[in-house]
Amino acid sequence: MKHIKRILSLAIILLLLPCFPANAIESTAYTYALSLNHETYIRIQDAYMPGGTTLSDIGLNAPEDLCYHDGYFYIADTGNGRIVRCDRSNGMLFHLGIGELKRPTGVAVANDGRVFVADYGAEQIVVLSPEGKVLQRIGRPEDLFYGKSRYMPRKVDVDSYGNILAISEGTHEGLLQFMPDGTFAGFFGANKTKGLSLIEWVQKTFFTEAQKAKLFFRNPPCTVSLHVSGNNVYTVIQNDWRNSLKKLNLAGVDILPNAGNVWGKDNYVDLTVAPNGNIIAVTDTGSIEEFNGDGDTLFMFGGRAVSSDRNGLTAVVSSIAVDETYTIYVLDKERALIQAFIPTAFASMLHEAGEDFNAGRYAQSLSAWESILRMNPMTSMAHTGYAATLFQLGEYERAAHHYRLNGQASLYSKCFWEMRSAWLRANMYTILLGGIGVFLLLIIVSCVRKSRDFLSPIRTRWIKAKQKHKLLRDIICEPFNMIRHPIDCLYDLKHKKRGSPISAGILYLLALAVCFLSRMSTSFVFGGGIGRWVDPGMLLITTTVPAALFWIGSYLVSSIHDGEGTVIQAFTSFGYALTPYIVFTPILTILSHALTQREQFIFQFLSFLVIGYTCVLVILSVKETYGYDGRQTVSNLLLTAGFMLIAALAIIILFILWRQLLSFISEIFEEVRYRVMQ
Amino acid sequence: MSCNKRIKIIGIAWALWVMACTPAGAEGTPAFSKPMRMDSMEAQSNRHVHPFSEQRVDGIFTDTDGFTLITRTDEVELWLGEQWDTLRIRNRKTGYIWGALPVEKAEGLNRTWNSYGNSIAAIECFDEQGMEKRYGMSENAVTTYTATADGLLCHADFSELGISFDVFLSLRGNILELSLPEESLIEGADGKGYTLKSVSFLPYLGAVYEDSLDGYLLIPDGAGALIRFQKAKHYTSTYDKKIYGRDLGIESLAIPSDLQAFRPNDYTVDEKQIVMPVYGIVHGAAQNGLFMVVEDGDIYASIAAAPAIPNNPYNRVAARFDYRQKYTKNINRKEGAGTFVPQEHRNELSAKLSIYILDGSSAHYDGMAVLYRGLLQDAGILTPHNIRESIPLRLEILGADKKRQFIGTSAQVFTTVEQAGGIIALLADAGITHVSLIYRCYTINNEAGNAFLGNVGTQYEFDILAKRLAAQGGRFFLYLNPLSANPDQIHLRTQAANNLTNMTIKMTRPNRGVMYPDTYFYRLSEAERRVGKALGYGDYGFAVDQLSCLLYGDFTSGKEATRSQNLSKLIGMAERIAHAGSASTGRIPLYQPNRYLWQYVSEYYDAPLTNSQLLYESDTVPFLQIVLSGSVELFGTTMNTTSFSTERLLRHIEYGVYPSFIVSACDSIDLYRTAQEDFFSANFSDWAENITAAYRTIDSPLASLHGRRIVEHKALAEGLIRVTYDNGTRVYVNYMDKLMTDGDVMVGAWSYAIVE
Repeated sequence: MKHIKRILSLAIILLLLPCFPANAIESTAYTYALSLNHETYIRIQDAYMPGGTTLSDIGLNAPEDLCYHDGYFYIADTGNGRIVRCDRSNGMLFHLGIGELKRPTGVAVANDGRVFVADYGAEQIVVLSPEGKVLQRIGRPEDLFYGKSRYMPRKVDVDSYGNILAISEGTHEGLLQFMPDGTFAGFFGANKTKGLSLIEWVQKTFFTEAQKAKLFFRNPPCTVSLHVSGNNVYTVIQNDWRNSLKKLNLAGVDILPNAGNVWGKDNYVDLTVAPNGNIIAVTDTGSIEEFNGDGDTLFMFGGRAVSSDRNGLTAVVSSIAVDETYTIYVLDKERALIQAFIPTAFASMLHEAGEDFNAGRYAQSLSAWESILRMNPMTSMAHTGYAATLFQLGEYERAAHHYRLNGQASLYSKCFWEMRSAWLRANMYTILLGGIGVFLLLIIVSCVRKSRDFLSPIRTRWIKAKQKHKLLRDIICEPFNMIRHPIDCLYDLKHKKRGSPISAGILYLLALAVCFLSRMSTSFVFGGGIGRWVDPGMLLITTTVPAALFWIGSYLVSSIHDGEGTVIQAFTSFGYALTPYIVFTPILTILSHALTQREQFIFQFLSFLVIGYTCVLVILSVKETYGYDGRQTVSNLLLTAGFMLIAALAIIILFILWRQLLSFISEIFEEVRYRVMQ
Repeated sequence: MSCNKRIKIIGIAWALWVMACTPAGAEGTPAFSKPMRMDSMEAQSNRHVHPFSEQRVDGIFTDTDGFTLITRTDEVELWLGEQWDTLRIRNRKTGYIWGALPVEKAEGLNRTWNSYGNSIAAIECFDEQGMEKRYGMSENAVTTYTATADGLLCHADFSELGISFDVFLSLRGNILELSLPEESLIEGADGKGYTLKSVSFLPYLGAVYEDSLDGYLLIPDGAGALIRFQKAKHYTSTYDKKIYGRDLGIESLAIPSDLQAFRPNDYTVDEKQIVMPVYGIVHGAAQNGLFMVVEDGDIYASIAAAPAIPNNPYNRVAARFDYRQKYTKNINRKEGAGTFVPQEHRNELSAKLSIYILDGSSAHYDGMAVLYRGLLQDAGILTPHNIRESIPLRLEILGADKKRQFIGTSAQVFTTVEQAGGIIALLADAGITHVSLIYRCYTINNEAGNAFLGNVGTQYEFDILAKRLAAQGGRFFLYLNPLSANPDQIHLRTQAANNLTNMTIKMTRPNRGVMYPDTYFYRLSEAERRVGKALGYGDYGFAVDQLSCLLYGDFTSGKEATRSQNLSKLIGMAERIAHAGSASTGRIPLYQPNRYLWQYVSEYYDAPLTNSQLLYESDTVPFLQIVLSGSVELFGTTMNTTSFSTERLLRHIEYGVYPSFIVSACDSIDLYRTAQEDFFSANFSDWAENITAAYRTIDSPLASLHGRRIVEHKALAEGLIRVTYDNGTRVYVNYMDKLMTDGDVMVGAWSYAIVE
């Protein structure tokens, strides 16, 4: 029986729907990205969707490594002593190396189909033919310069020339590099030791050689996993999140622009490289994190399934791989299965934007970044990507705006340099004419003053005001006198000819205000700006408490070391000693807005001069106020420093005890209330 | 030679060729695992429903030998196996026999489990040390059976435990009803120290050994989830969830998740809460089914479903009535210092479960949904809603909230009422007038019941906006959440609810970056006060959140109220709000409401589009959507803050769910460092184009189906779904990247088609 059928809108819908990206109904874990200025983590559009699991039914036993090559998964099935090859499209399985391998923990595939296996149990690297036949076994290198290092291959990879790179457990010298014929070629890309902690420094200083030999702290961290892509070797290490990711060139040098400052994690177990060069790393807890080729964090997703089994969450991850469609595969060691993650349209857009950018198609890239920014305006990566593209298109002002929002001072400085150059080019004649105009005006004023000093009444009124109002003189004239003639000024202060505690107090407040304002108003290029989070309370404490401790400490020390001055005199003279900071810091703050990081040395040098001269004046104040000679002054300063340290410790201890006491009283009160209520 | 034979021979030859071509030296036998097809990975996931086999299934039980016929109706016979204290249920129409486990020996289970699984009423108890143990009737109880008019009375005496009770079984039509009256339950007889933890009726009824039979379990997880019968696998846990969500007053609210990385640990999307007390079992899709409704005791019941696991290889589902549960009893006022002990007082409940014995098309998830809808309609809970010629758009608008500043906080206005009017005008210009507008964050300190925040708008302005919307055919609601609060919105000592150990109920989000990681909950007396204040705002409707989905006991000293006692207060509040205002219809928009509030719901917000995506769940089905279709307008979660995609739009079309967006007039970045920063992209200008496009895309097929009921939902092929409405209209949805056909209906890749 025929119904009247009306097939509606097919054509129309086909036109409508494809304008929306595909692949995202609802995920099981949120996707996070770093927020603006890397202040915190923020939720964003879902980047990947859990795409289901596979190989859960073939009895994998604690598999340690996964490699995806040309439509096949290769799994180091560690517990079963075999390599499993699985055709992704039809699920067909082959088992390689049964009886030949003991405990394979790493697997890689060369372009010619040979399978390289790191056999931890046999302490060998085993090369298998695509059919599973053993072609070569690479044992411990006999070379002299291999030394006494251990040889326990855990991971392996092979470059396009057939050179083999391997990670050996406990080998701190770097990756093991073998020639295609299996000859040991040397170590590669050694990690550096971390800076010494205080305890390590003490141990290094005072321990005997025998004691030092027993300590492991001098060893650089071992590489945990590696991935070879193109001419680069990518590695991850643990327990050093700033250095957790590395992109090594042929010389073994980390070429990530932010090398040593990567926003990584302490517990990465593996990484892989996407077709566009993005780096994807995974922690043992299942946090999957994608970085662009420069090591900038893009987003992170996934996570650990603690109390339930859900798609997209993992138990213990051992490895990760990615295919040509950016689909990510995560090997779950505990559950013995592979979990797939499908990129959403948002992730695909990010990948395309990156590809366009890398290929120099900035206009296309900009359009994608605009969409990404619109969808995720609070993220660092959206602003960075958008600004970088704008920069390439010569839109420096807009790029600078986004870099500033994102707290990227050096990149902002580059934009500012371009903007300043453009401004200078555009206003060259105006500046020159203005300069000449000012010069001529000064000459004219000078000439006029010789015939008729029209400034004389103002000067006379100022002199009268100074004589009438001592405080005005003390806070306006005397500080400048301090800068020019510090010894004379300090003598006057000591003998109460000039200055007063009130004027000094005002100077202290001015110094505090200058400190606040400089933090807020110094150019963003040099770390200032109100947009940056500064805790005012903390700033107040970190400035006033040391100043107060120095004042009191210095006086107390002088009182037992034959000092002449009083506590008030010390207060006054120290206040005046801050004059260079009060006077010149605002100038530096203004100057900072005209400089870029290329002229950083000018700003730093001038800052050094200001701080340095202020310190000199403080030292002179100590000397003059207490009537010390040079040796006594140094002694006073050192003892004051000691006092400050002890006082700070005492304050911290008292603070902790006070909190404990409050907590104790509160608990007793709550306990009583609870019991009574019950 | 017939064509089929030729195909078979070619197939065998091909297989042999593949084997022959297996490279020499390849070790081990090639085997197969589940492939990952790149063209349909999404459609293969458990976010979709997959086609079912139409092969006829043979039952697990073929006869009723050893059982006694108790009673029969035109549809069903009830048989009792007194020796094993279990039942067999025979569908007279099909002859299909339902039972629990094989009585002699259930493979993979010991005698204790066999007894427990087969029992008409199996119990769990706490011993004097608080240890949990399971008991079955045949092994541990003395049972006596008495015939009644329509069934049987079973008296069970677990004399060693000092526990006894009566279970009534009555058979009416195709419904078997089991009930355990509260008054018949006796504990502590003869001074025994055992206390009752839970009771389950026939916990293994319909259970299937591994994948020995084709079928599935239906659980109300999210939109609806199927667990197809499968081989035993290792899982960390099985599905065990309390109906209507956790009791915050008793259960631990800590989230055990630690990535051991710097990123926040609040990374998991919450698993879906059970909002309706139903579940089902199907043996052979559209052949034989059981549909269970927890009729009474539902607020203390859990649904426990488990796939086959190595040490219990039966796929099974049952309702468990919890009389007691363990909780952390604090030994002092310090958080975390406590012991895990059972509740001292028993939950007061009368357990009652109805089992519908089904066959044919009703023995499938869509048939069960249609059946349940009918039950709710008969009870007057669901009524048809007005039919419009366009679908509604849910638009939430953010008013204002606190923002962290250089020093302290300040009030950040996101959208004024005037700006909201501008947004409505823009949408009207784009042809979208059927809008449900919900205004959020409009009071001082964003507290429920506080006065309007002047910076957002005055009452006069709100009135104008509401009238304007009404005039163009839209609806205006104020957002109201009278139950949960951040620390700045609650006085803990006088307003916060406390748990059983008399600590403030607190849910902590493991993310130090957010403005308010801690959430507290008002006592219901406080919530009632706030609702009263909100009702005094004027003649407004409210969209009610939290009250709709939270149900907790409050154990504040001297003011104790259990979950069941608070239920009537919650329903009372909902009723009060629903009947307030001159334009009241007695129904209001609710966010993810539990079943006990469905008689008050007009618009269902944040309707789930998937299940919890547990590994053992094989399919997502629109059970909830089918039940509510034609009676309640369903809206999905806000598209601009989750994921915005073709598949999501298609899912809206498939499930008959309407689009939702949350917007503000300010730049999205202004939401940064506020409590609203999870709405990471809300600027209306950024989304205006997408809102219009999404609305039109969903309106096009669903406008003519507004107010219609779904009568059938079928997966024709992987990724191709057909939904049939009561007016005969069929909606085809294709999730594949290629053209799909059903007869002469063609559906483009990632598209849909309508056949009227």
